[in-house]
Amino acid sequence: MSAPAQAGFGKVLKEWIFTCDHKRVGILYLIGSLAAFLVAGLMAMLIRVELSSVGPTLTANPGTYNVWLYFHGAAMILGFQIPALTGFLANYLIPLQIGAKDVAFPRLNALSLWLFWMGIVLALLTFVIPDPPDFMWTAYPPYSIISSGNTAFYTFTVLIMGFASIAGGVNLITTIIYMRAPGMTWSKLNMFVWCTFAAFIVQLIFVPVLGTAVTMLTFDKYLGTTFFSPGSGGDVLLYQNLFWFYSHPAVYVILLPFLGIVFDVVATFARNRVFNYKAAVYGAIAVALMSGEVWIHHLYASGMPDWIRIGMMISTILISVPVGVMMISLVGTLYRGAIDFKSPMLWALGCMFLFLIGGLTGIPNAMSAIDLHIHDTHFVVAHFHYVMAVAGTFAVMAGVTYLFPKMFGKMCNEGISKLGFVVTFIGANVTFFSMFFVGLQGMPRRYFDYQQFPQFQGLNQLITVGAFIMALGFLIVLISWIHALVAGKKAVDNPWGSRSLEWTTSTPPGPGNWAEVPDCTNFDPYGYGSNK
Amino acid sequence: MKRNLKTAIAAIAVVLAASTAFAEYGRVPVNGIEPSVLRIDDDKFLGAKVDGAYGLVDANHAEFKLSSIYGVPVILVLSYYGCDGACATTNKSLKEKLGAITRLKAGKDYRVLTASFDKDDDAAKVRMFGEMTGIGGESTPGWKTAVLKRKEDIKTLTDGVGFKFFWSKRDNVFTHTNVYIVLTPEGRVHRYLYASLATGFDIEAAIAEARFGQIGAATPLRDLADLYTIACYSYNYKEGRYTLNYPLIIAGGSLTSGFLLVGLALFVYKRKARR
Amino acid sequence: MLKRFGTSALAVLTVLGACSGAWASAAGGAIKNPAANWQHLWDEMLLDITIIGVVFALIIIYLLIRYRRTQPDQEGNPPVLSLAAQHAWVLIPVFLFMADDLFLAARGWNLWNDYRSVPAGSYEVELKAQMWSFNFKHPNGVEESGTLHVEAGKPVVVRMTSADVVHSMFIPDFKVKEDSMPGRVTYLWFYPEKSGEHVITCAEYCGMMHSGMHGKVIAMPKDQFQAWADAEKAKIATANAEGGKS
Repeated sequence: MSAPAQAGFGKVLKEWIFTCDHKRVGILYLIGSLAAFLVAGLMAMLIRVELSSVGPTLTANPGTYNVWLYFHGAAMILGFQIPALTGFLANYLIPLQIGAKDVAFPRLNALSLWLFWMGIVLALLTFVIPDPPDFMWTAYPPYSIISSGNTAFYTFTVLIMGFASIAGGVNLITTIIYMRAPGMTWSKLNMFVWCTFAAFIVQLIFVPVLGTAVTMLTFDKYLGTTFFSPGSGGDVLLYQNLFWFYSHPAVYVILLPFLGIVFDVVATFARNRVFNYKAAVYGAIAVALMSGEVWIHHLYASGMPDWIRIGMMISTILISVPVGVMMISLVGTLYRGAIDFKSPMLWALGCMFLFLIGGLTGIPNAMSAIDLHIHDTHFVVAHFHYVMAVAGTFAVMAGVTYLFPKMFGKMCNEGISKLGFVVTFIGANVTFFSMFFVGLQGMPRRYFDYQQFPQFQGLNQLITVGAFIMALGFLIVLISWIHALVAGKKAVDNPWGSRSLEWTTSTPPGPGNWAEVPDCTNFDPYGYGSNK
Repeated sequence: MKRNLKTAIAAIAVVLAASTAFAEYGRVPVNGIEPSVLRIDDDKFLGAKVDGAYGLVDANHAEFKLSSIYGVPVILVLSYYGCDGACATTNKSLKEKLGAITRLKAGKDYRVLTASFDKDDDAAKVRMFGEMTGIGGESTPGWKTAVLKRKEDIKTLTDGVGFKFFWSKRDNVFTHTNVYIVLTPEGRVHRYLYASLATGFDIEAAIAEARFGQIGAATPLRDLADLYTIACYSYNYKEGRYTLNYPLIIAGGSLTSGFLLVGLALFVYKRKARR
Repeated sequence: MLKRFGTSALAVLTVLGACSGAWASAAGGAIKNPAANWQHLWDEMLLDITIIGVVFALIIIYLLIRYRRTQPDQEGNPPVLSLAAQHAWVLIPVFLFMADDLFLAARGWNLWNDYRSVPAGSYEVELKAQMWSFNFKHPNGVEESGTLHVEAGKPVVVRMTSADVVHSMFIPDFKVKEDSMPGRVTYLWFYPEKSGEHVITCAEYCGMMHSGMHGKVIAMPKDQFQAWADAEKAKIATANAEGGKS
């Protein structure tokens, strides 16, 4: 971007590859995560086509289908959602929102970026190696130990992504604590900074546990240890516990930053303060603190002792309390605002609606007794796509559309963007709302075929149609971005009229972000309206 | 320098080889485990219900139902009272092992039942056995020695828990499995511990496991101690004993490493900033 | 390929065992059918979450229309919250949410106890799941794979373990599901009140033919079931006798 126009392509490329600038690192994170999103999205389409009729549709080999499922899950979570939110958005936004020149350890940042890219490349190699993993992103033993799929491959992908996110987390936590501009107190931080801070703490504490769990899995398979083998002192359930001990908090690692960016977008486009800001901040912290005490709800049907299933039912249901408080703040931000329905705002509002449905359908899932029927069915699939997958993607879309002028100095075409949003929103709801019904009737997840339930074919076809509508929507969004990059109108420094710190710098920001470190003594990220 | 390195590598290799050799021969549990013909197929019988309706008769001709001792974990020892060696040893060594467990109280936290599988045994033989071993009387609270009231029940009971025994004509003794069968408070088979192999700790862990998860009946402190035992140790089918739960310990270590990393980052930055 | 999976699985995990948790036993009295109570609680909860969702959605839509921007340079006019108001906006929702949550949790706990308390006198069947079939063993020694014949009107408890990987027995019609795995014993129970057929299907990913792992519960009237059980047992006896001869 800032490279001189006459510089050759090679020089620009070299600049980007060796960059330590947090903005470029962020954009490179975005590109990598979008690559994962596109390929994993393609897998989703294949899965939906396969399920559109009873019996084999696209492939006759369930093994192939299982690899699609594995890749869709693993790449969407580890390759797209977490890196897009805690890699791209956090790297790009946090230094700009706290008034720092860069992150605390710029070279470490570059390292974590390229580790992440290695992870992406490794993940994409799934389609090249002869024995791709087929044990889903959860990789439960004993299946993952006896499967002919490549467990080590899975483990290395997880470990590399894990290292990348640990390095990134260490970096940004230090940045937020020590590198705030003068006058930028904790109570002046954007909601996104707070939420991401909480998410990084969760990530740092829990990622190592996942790392050791998958490492032990690999040892069991290739080195003959017996950590999870019941034949010699191991325990199959222990892996499931360790896995969800990380992977449930990982949901909050996705949830918190996406609520954070939605807060900021809503505040900007409503030109309004975040309603009861402190409550929302404490809500985010409470969510982070509670995130580690609810994982058993993934094991309600796994033969855990009754007392722990009851205990974690209560803790799981109670996590709705801080989330509810955050939701009230979010809705309250609209109150007495001046709401402008620009495309980033539409994505954010769409995210709110999806999250509302997803959050509420989480309550039946949280109830251990109700869950005994819907556990591992399409009901759960619909729930977590609403609450995390699609809502999170909408938030990423909101973030990208919101920051697009800042990143590239070009405006997206509002018409194409809005069309993309509307089509995606319709598609997402058709897909996942129908999934609730088919799940409730008992369609288990991870099924290649459903000949025991031929009556589900109609609903499954509806879901497939919805999925294609959604894919079309994302395609339109992608076109709008490419169109904007090529032929977008030039953006002014603060096109949305935001009061947030990142819009005070030039567009796009040069190295070091500001010519002089901004003085934030009288600054307020949400200082709209009469009572600034 | 290079030479030193080579020597060091060689030395390490020797140590490694020796230690693997030790691992090969250091722990040989084979002696302890029953010969395969007597070994119980855990897989088939774990979780099986032992009917509480069995009637039993003790040394004083008093009758009681098996279900009367349920409610806490029960250690079931199947023996025969005419036995001159192994059975008495099995029971006496159980008494010793239980005596060493201070955390659990017999009668309150668990009960023991020695029952005979010999159809010729009767209340008089039970009394004789008690006099010989000192078991079943007042010195061993919570421990009943008895025979089944109906002789037909012997086969159903032993078959129901997979216990094997047969009469050896040549030696004039029963050949049988020497096993402590740990039952849950509801009377389901929870664990088989082979008498020659089980330590006091194995029994303690099995009892903790068997009663774990009972809602309401437990005190928090008791549950914590049980939880500690169950979390840190797990039953090893290959070795027939409870061994350290390594994965959980490793995972615990990795959890702390997360905290340490945050601390380290802050420390490094502070030093960098000071300079 | 399939066979290789199966045999390697068996080879790796020949020694199994279990750790049966506490099996609560229901005290006598009427059998509480969890499936019926499930539907009841589900309906209640659906009403609950629908009300919350609709209220939130209507408020959002109202705010979106009421406070839309009319002039380009218009700004919001946010209320200034007093300290008391700030606290009230946290505490009141927290109490409301918690009241609702704990009410639901209590109802859920009740239903959970129904699910986990096996009625006395239930018909106990053993299940050994394996890739990719459900193998049942009746108390009289009769074994069957795929189908499970039971007597209508009598609760059935299934004691489960697995020969290879983690599976899950799921009977949608009875709203019940529990994993079976090597090294542990788990259980579930259901109450087939009338005769009929119900799909059993695997709900825990267990490899290539996961979706092909299904079977049927066949509930029959008492006399028919008895006849079936006797006939099957006789078949075993004949087979044994023939096996002994040859």
